[in-house]
Amino acid sequence: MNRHLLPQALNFVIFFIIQILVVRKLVLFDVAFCYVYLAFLLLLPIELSVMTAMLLGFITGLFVDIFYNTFGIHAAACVFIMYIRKLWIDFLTPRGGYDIGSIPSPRSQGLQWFLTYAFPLLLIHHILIFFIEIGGFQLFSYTVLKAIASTGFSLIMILVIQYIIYSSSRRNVL
Amino acid sequence: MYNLLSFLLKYRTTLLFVALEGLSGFFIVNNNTYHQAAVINSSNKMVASVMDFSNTASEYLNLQEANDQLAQENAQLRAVLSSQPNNSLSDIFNPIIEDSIALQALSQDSLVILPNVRSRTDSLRFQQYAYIPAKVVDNTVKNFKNHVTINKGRADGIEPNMGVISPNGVVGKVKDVSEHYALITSILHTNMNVSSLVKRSNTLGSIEWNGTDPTQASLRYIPIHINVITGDTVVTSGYSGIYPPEILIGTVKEVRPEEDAAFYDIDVDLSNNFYQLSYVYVVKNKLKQEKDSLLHQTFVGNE
Repeated sequence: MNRHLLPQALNFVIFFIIQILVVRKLVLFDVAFCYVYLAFLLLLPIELSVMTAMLLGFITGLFVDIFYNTFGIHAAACVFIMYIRKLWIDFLTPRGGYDIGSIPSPRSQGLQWFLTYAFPLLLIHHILIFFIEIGGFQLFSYTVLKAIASTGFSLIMILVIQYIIYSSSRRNVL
Repeated sequence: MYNLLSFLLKYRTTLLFVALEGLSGFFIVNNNTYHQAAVINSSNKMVASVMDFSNTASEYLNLQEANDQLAQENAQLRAVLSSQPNNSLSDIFNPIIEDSIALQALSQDSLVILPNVRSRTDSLRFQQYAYIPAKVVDNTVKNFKNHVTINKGRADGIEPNMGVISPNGVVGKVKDVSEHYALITSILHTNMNVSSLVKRSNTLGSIEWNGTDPTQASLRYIPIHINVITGDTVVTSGYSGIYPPEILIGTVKEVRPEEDAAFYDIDVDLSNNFYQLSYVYVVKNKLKQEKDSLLHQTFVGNE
């Protein structure tokens, strides 16, 4: 657990800074938003308890909410995906089980595994934030389009950033 | 007691989940309805200075546009100034007004508007609104609930619920202020509505944004017996006391009479380009308090 503390803290700082300073205003085709800060939550160690994960999700969400002026929305969505994350990870257990102390990253579990792991969680998170933001179903199809486009964009950006930052230096950790 | 503890222990994860979601829900509801809930948002000093910092880079891209806009506005104001009678032009900087004490009190913190002496009998009317210029630090257009952050705050006399306009038209309403920054609910916010007039027929309606296109809004509550055509100008009514009357909002783009409905469905092209918002004015209505207290008295008296 302690072995993970420093890399995880570094992860948080890196993805949070990228989120706030670089991609906060990046919106493709007016519908695809980019929420790369979720990479921090997705890459938390597999054995982490659900309670700790939910608390981390809540705090991270609130930090992001402050910058997006959406107080509470990201926090709610992050807590939700952190609540179901453990179940989803257990469901996706490979034949031999996970290695002890491993991290759900594309490098350690394989790209295909990571995509199956990350896509539904991101999609649920994005659907939640967009529907809570508009507060109803009045623009249903547009909101769903926004959520799906944003999920694709976020997923691609998360992969790209991971490959850029962790390409060589920290091969043994992630 | 033991049962309770074991129950709590057994379901602690679910309980924490419910508690955190409840807390988030509380934040969301509070943030949506009233500004007085002391939530942290981008009017917070630290948050706003980070945005200010990240804005400095992109600011240069809009510099040309901002310059053009300001120069154009200057030219317009100059035209208005020179079209006035000579006597008012000469003594505009030292007006002689009968009720000078009242005026002095009113103009103490006026930053832009000088006493207009064109009609001395009604000089208070021209003093009613003061304009506080501010720079946009952060602005979004693509969310369902968009906000603008500006670099003036309580120290500059800005308070919640003041109107915000730009040279091109209405921008929004102040939601929250800190010492040096203010958060504005943009007109591009699904819960926002602005009391407005179709200028040609003087019909009262309400401008609302439907959440998709940042260049368009819809005008509601115009009854179908009124004749509204494409190109009609839509301006603020000024009845709420937040915006001065006759501030441009946009022009009618399309009128769709709905079957069996009492009102038109009208699309309005917003006059403001929210993609390139760089300088705005916060409107300070000096008589708003008086108006509100009068309204309040009337309501209390009627009960």
